[in-house]
Amino acid sequence: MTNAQSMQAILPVITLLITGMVVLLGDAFLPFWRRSGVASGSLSLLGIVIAAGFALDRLSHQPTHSLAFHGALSLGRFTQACTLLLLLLAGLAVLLAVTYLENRRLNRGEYYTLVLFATSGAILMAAANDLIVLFIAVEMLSVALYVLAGFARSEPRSEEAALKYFLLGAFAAGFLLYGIALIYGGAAISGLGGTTNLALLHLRQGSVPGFMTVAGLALVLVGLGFKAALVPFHMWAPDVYEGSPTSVTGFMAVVVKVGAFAALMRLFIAFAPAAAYWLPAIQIIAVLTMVTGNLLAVTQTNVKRMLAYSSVAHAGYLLIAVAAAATPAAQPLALQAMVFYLAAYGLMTLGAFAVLAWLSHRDADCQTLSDLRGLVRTDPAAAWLMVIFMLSLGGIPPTMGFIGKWYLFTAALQSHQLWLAITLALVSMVAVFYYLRVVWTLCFEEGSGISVSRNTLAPAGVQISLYVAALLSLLGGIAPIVWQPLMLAARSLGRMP
Amino acid sequence: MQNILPQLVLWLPLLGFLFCAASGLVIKDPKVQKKAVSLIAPGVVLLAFVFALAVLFQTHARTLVPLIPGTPLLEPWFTRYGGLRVDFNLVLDPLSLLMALIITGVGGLIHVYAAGYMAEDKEVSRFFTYFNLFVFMMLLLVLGDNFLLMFVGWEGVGTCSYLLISFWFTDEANAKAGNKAFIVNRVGDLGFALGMMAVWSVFGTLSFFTRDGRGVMDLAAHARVLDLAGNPVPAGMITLICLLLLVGALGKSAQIPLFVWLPDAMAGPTPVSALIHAATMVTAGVVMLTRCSWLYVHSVTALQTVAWVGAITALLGALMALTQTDIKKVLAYSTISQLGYMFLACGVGDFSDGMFHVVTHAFFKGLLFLGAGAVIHSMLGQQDMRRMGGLKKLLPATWGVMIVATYSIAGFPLLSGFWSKDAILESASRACFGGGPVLYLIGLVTAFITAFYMNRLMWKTFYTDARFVNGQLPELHHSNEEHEHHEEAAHGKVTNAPASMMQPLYILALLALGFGWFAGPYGPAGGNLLKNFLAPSVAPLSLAGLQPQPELFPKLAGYLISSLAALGGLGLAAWLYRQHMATGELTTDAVKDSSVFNRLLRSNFGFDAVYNMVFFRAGGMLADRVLWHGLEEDVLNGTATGAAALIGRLSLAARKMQTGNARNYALVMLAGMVTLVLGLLVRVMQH
Repeated sequence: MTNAQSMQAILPVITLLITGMVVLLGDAFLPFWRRSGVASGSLSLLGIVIAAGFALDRLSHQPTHSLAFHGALSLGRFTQACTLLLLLLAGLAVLLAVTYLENRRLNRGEYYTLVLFATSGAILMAAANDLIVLFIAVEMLSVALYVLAGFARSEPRSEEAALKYFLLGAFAAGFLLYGIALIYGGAAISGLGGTTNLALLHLRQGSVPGFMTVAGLALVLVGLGFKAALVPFHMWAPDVYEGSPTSVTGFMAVVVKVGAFAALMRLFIAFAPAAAYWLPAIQIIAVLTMVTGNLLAVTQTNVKRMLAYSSVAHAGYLLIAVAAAATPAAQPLALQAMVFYLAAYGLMTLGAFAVLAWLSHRDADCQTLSDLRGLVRTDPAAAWLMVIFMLSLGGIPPTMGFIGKWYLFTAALQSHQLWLAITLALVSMVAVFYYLRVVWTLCFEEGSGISVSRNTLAPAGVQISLYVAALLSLLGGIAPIVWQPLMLAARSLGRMP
Repeated sequence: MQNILPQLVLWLPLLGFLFCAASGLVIKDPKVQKKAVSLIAPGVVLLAFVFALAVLFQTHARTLVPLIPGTPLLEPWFTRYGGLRVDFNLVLDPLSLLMALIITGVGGLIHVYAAGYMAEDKEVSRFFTYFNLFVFMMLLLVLGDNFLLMFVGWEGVGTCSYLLISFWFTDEANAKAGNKAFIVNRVGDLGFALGMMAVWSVFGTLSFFTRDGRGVMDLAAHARVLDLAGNPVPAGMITLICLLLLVGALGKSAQIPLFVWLPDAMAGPTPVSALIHAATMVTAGVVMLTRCSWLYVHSVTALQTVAWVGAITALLGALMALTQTDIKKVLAYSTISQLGYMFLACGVGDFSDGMFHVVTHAFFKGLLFLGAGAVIHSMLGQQDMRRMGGLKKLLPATWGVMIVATYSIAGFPLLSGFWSKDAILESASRACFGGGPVLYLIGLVTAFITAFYMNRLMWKTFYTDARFVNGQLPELHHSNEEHEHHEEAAHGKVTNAPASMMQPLYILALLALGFGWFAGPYGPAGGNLLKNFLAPSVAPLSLAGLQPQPELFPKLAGYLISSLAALGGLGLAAWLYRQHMATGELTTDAVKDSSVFNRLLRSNFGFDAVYNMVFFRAGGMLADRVLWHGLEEDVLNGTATGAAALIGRLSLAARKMQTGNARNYALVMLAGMVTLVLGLLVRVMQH
């Protein structure tokens, strides 16, 4: 692609960045703007919709050339699919934030700017074809999230979350950068000429990679694994998820996961010829993540913490797709399964956090199981929506979570990784316990939970967000065909120059 | 255009069903709702009949030869789940058209009758909702162009049958009868499903006919049967398929050993018994056999099984009908017996005469049930013939139609039943696999017994002295509503059924009189109208090189013998009951109870008792002692509880790792990183 074409292909990101800056400026200089989050929120939403329009346009034109900016970015169909998914989730997160920030009196315009910047970072992570660009994208996402995690400045828990996230994130970034350097060196030694570009790191099938390359790969895995909350790099997740404002947690839980897994997928498919060396590590980490995440979620009484561990467990499920992609025959299915599961996971997790956000008001943040007690009587709509998301997270038909798991399951079987499939099935059973406990608390437990008050300025935002997420999750479970275009787009990484 | 008509036939009853189901939402006034439903539900079925007739005349000009391939509605319906492709196609051939005519024609008449019969019931709309759905499902069963669509219809009619048998579910006996029908049919349906899977695995398709001649029946319509890939199909596989499908037919058509549900199914409203448990649904097995005749002619074993099952069922069914005292139960056992005749016909390879009997049976048995319904209606729900008698004077019109139907089913010369039954007897006597004389004899004896028990029913009900006065008042109506109409009529006075209920009976009586002659060998246009009409749909025995044996005696002699059997049975019953006009009983109860034969007949030859013992007692014991208390409670529950406790404890232990200190987290990360890097490096070094 020429530079002009490249600029055109990257229009979604450019749109998001410009929108973010306009929102920031508007918030700084227009006093009426500052009074409510509606203006900033709707402007951000507009930006997201326009960006999605650009991405859709590019997807519908079936781009044959995917490498942009001299190979630094790959903007093929897979990237567009991830972009669209990220934009959908970001849009829902913005809608949810409008209400939540208003309820919690956290209404400050830079929130939306940070969300838009973080989304751009995640999109670039999915697109990055060069490890250096990947690093910049990760930082773009992370720095925005550090600030967002501490957005409730007056709350010590939020501050603690931000600080922990920042410290450990910096630690992980070090590994990531060091790993990239090692890969560069390894490529130089093996005569490829020092490069961090995945397209140029051609490995011959069966060739033995050098020490430096392997060590570099391991360190990059640590860096990305931290972002994706893989065990044992997951320990930040519960604390940060619990401490951050709920709208941030929802956004963080889904957007980071999409970016990180798209990047992991691209990285390991590039190294697929050497799968014999790294595949066992991925398998072990996948099993560890699935087991640990589910095991720890069982005893949580704080729903946000429980969802944090559940998101760890889901990262383990998603890693199955990465492991399956090591087998060339199973690669299209693995890519497809990953994108579908990311969509399912994103919708149901964001939805679950959105319910919590909906129920929170100025005096109380809805977090614990006891807050949800008997909600089906006091607020049936919220309770039933939560039930949908919990069933979907538990992988119970007819929800999208079920179909997603089924795809992952078939991907594991198609790549002959029977043990991953069996582990997936077993831990899913454990998972059902803690999801159903939420349902139980909502529907069958006596007593009163959080007091329900709806005196907010912008309740519509979170409602739209909730209903869209619930509808899409159910639709994805009943008629998965609605996600077909996205999944077809995701079937290949499209590394054609 | 020609594709639209058959579709209308199929979809109209579904529309009716949707309307009836939604009528409560649309129409708030219950009286108006009742009226609308009683108009629309019969209306759609009659309209469907008109369209079916139109199809008949439209296609008749072009003659129905060769088969008109399926009318694609949804193509494909299922696509490629493991290579399985099933289209939503209809097959319109003489067989399906004939059945569609019966279902909508007889069904329409019974709908009209039911509008009168159910008028006093509270839940007319629920009744017609099920009834219309049944018609749709039955049409789907006969019109579907593949085994799966047929199976959908098959299960659909089973569901409707269940819903309608236990229509008055507040009475526990009715609910149990519905359950029994449903559960016994599970056995048959399992056979059907297995047969379907066998067809799929052998032929690689489930379609009956396709335009390019690659359906199962197309493939089987050759002397050598090849599958889709062109490999010859082993004869054993065809036999297996046929026998598995037969199990399905045995369940649905209430043949031995799966007949036990049909007598109990009489718990439903009488129009249900007439339409579902006499005229249409129970003949589904025969229709399926005829549809698959192309397969059956390739397997002598399967044909033989069908024939013998049919013959034995015919005989045992007739015997069991002898001792029944409930008017509807007599008819139920009679239906089992007549279905046995149809199976016998199919078994000896005379599928078209089997279908002939299906048609005439639909007329006279439908008529008998409707007549019995009129009697019951007039007697305010009384079904016990011991409490009837002398009704001829009070219900002359009902008596008139009932006598036609009785003589028709008994095989009185020149009536409908005579022609179809005699055709079956003749084919049976010439069974290609031998044993013809025995089959013929069984059929003949059955015909004699049939004539006897039918006239017994007539005498007990209509001729003998009235036994329902003198303090023995008829019990109240079955329905869940007590009507003031009943109160005033409960003084031992018999009321006549309304005219709307009687008109369908007259039409059916005409058909029971004359249809046999019309479609039979001496009918107009050179005779054998039905046989010639059905010929394209039915496999000839010669396809597999089978030849019927030579005739035992000339045709005319056959007619004479059958006539004598029928007249003998009718006459014997009349002669015996004439001597017991007062009681309507040939012997006293004490004599009956002491007779082993009588007890055997009344206990259904012990089928129910054996099933009760094996499945209910032994199965219940297995479920209770072994599966529930043993396996479930101790093994499974114990394991699950133990595993759950273990997970809980592990979780608590693992939680301790989460200290909340960022430096500990970093340490864990570092340890993980070191392990990962070392692990990968070691792996590279090993190579």
